[in-house]
Amino acid sequence: MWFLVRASLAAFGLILPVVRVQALIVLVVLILLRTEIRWSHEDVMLGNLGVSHLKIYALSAVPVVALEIAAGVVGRLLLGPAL
Amino acid sequence: MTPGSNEYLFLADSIGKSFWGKKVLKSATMWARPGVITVLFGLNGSGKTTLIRCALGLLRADHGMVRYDGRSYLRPRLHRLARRGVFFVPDRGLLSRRLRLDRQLRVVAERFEASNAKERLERLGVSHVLSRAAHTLSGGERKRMELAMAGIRKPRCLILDEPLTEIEPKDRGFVNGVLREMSADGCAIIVTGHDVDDLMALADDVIWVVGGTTHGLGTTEEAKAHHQFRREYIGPRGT
Repeated sequence: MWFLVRASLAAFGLILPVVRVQALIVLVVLILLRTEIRWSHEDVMLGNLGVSHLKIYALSAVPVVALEIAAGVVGRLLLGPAL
Repeated sequence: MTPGSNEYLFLADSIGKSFWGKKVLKSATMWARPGVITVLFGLNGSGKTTLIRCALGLLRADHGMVRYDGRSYLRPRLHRLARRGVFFVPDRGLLSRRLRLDRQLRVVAERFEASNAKERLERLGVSHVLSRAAHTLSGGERKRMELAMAGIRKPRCLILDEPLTEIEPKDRGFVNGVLREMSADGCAIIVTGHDVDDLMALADDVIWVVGGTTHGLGTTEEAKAHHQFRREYIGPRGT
């Protein structure tokens, strides 16, 4: 479910390649990601393994942000001139 | 009662917590001593889970502090405590739904360089479910797998939130036996729950969470003799 929400947002970012919207989407995606980590079962297990929330968050966020930026770049290349 | 001596391996002292203006914990204290099983009793909504989650840094307490193995934490974090020997088994489950159990166990065993995984799994009777995903296990199997994981970790302080809830009555004595063995090895254990008979049989030390605070009732015999505890928690049936 979480993945679908994030994917939908990324798709929205792709069709609306405006930098401010992209930035907002990245922010929302990161907040969703943080909520997902906080509410998942894995946070306690990873805590028991000595892994900090910050590290989990950073490791999870890097690919998400990279994906969003890539979506933004592709969107701008494809649709930018039309906007 | 606020214990202050060094015999306490883990001490969460004067923890307070409010949710949206509603005070759940006014000033609650819990502790764990090596080789001792401490049971936290309390009605639903009394704040047992909140106390544990604040003590481990999974919730931010409004006030209070945690002392573990001689070090004080104003803002404790589970990962920091875990690196020094704390292991937490929450009531909502510990196992990941995304990974097969053998992979999860391998991660724990490798992280803590444990060599007792096979023995622990056989002791808990869950060695046959390793190829399955966590969500396909029954409640009892899941709890036993979590205990096996805790055993593989060999923690110095084990905190379990309602570990007997999904265990069948006939298996509760066995689970208690496993916790007893860990305690005999020097592990400091904190357990919460409502199964008064089973937990009274397990407890060395009893804490009662009531009215946003905690009362250290002492041994099970002392707890059973506590008039208010009997009247308000155990009820007329007694133990």
